[in-house]
Order: sequence, then C-alpha cells, then structure tokens
Amino acid sequence: MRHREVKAQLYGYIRSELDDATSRQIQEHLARCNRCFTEYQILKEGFRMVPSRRERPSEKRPEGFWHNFPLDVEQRLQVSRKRKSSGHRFWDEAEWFFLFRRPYAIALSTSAALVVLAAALWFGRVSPTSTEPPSLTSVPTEALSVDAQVGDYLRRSKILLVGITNLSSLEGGAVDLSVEREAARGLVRQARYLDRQSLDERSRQLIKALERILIELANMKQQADLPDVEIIRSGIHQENMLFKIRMAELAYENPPSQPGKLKNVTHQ
Amino acid sequence: MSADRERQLIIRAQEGSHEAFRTLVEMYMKPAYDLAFSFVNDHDDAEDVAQDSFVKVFHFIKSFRLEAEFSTWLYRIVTNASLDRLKQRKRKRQRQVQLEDPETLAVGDNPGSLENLDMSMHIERALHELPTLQRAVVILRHIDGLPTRTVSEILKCSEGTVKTHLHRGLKKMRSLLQHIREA
Repeated sequence: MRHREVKAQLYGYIRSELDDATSRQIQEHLARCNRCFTEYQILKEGFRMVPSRRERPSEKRPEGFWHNFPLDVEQRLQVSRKRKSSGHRFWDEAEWFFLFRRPYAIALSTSAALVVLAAALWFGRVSPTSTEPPSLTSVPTEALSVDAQVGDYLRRSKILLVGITNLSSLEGGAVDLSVEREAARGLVRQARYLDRQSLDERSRQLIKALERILIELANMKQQADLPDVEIIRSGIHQENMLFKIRMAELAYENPPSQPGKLKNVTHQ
Repeated sequence: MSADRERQLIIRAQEGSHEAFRTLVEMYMKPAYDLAFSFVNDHDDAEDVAQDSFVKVFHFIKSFRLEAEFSTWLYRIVTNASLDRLKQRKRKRQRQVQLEDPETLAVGDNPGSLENLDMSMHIERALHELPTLQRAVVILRHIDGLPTRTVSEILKCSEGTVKTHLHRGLKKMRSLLQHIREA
C-alpha cells in the first residue's frame, strides 16, 4: 500500500469502518512507516478533540414543537407565495400544470393558435383599420391572463368614472344614465369574476371599493337628477378612486411576461 | 417507510399534493433539523434553516430527479442554507463593533459544566476558521457521521476530495484547538 492510499484511509481506520483486510494492510504499513504513523497520531488526536455527535439535537425539542413544525413550514410557504406576484403565480401554476400533462399543453396551444388565426382572418376581413374606442360593456375574455383582465377592468372602470365625474359640466337637470348603468352592471359582473381569481390583497381591495361605487351606479334610476349623480361623484372623490386606479394601472399595463410590478406600487 | 412509498410521495408532491409534501416534511424534519444544528449550533437558527429548506424543497421539488436519493438532495439544500446562515451571522458579527457577551454566543445544546461550555465554544470557533468546504466535510462526515459517499453527493465532489478535506480539516482543528488552549 502506498503512502497516499494509507493517508486517504486513515480516518476510516480510526473510526473502525474498514474491512479486515484493509485494516490489516494499514496496520502493517503504520508499523514500518514513521511518516504515516506520525500522520496517524495527529489525525487521531484531532479525531479525539472534535467529538462526534452522540445525541440528536432534535431530541431536545418538545413533542409540541414537532407537532407544529409542518404547520410552520406551511405558514412560511404562504408567505413566500404572497411575495410572488399574481402574474408569477399564474405562470408558475400553468408551467407546473403542463409539465406533467404534455398532451394537454399541445392541445391547448394548438387551439390557441387556431383561435388567433381565426381572429386575425376575421378582423382582417371586417375592419382592418378599425379605430373604434374600446367598448365599456364587453365581457372579459377567459383567454386573457388574470393580470390582463384586471388591467382591462381598471381601464374600463376609469373611463366610466371619468365620464361620471365630468357629467355636471356637460348636462343640466336630469341626465340619461342608461349607458353608464349598463356599463356599471357589466363591470360589477367582471369584478365578481375577478374576486374568485388569485389576486394580491391590494388589487382585491381596490376592486371591492370600485365595486361598491359601480353597484350604486348600476342601481340608479335611468333618468337621474344631478344631486344623485353628485353622491356617486363624492364617493369617487372620497375614495380617491381615479388616483388609485391610475396607480394600479401602472402595474398592469405591462404584459404578463413582466409580472410582479404590483407589489412595488402603492395604491395609497 | 419503503423506498417505493417514498417515491410515490415525491411524485405526488411534484404533482402538487400538499398532503404528500406534508408527509415528506414529517418524515425528514428531524434529520434536517439535526443537520442544520450541526452547522449553526443554535436551536432557533436550526429551526429557521430547516423550515426554510422545506420551503425551498416545495418550490423546487419538480426539478428533483427520482434517480437520486431524496435525503441527499434535501441534505444538500439544508447544507447550503446552513452555510448561508453562517455567512449572514459572520457579516452581522463583523458589523457589530462591540464584543459579544460570551454567554449569548451559540455554544451547543449541552453546556453542562463550564469546561463543556468552553470546549463547545472553542470547537465552534475552530470550525469557523476552516475553509467552507473543509468545514462542511468535517461537520457532515465527522460530527454527523454520514458516509463518505453521501457527503460527496451532498457537496458534489469526489470521495477522494472528501477524504482529503476531512484529513486536512481535522488536522487544522487539532492545531487550532491546541493554540486556543495554550492561549
């Protein structure tokens, strides 16, 4: 046995972990090699000075600690999930889902490609240069990501609230709110749909606050007097709603490929 | 628990089953805690490191390939988290200009006599003097008694490297402890 081989096995030899034949070879080598024997003595002293663990530190903790341990891990998981933006979660979950369901992924991507192709053909045929403003009453498409749907909801709510805020300067006496009521009803439906989605807490609160104003608007008489409209307007001002929407829109105006902005944006 | 059952649990956890993940936590929480404690030598830090490690396991379990041992993979996560914690602790200590009260230092779980307390402190200090890989090898192989092969898989190095670092690490520990005693 060479010196280097002996040196590599010394620890196992001290720990009595080697088989009999190897132990005997090392013993014989140490008996005739002073250099290796000195090395062995130094290592043995180090071995003795640094004790191995004789008892498990986990045994020092009470039973209740181990009972709560998985619950504490679960709590940490929830915190770590909240840190991730809703966009991240959406993509993570989508990736997680499709990782083990390749056929579904292929089927879904093929369907999406067909839908996009059909839409492109349709719009190309009907109005290739359409400049029509976005509809206030259109129902959100399920194909959009949650982020895109929230962004769409905020944009349409803002248009409606700005219209209501500017109403007094344009009209006098009773005003016709039929279009606004219809739009508000659509937005309330959309808010309830979004409420069931996975959203961060601040977006959820904003959507709830908006929903209260929209419900009031949706329940107004078709021919409302200006004092009634004034109640809605004061609600918008008191909640500082337009500012909050603009701030939230900053987070949602980017596509879902850049998620995670919302947590950096203060909604006041 | 059989290897097959563990494998099934891992597959279910990879598919998103919280129940399976929880069972894995219950199976490995004590070994993970013990390993973390070997590095950080403090119960609160060991708890923190072990729990954070399981959070990482949850997030990355889908990247775990079933041909490897789950315990080895988990121990690698715990080892990395423990080494990170030690680095944080070192930086924190460096920022604190004043000397720490020796009684507040982490000195092991069995202070017993003053001699034991001193020895435990000396060993911890000497361990901190070792280069990171050497320290990890000494802790995993010598203090925790894991087999050389497992240590090499955890640290992603050859068995020869483990043996060399263990030899050098123990020799250095011996000379450091002698120096501390003489001082």
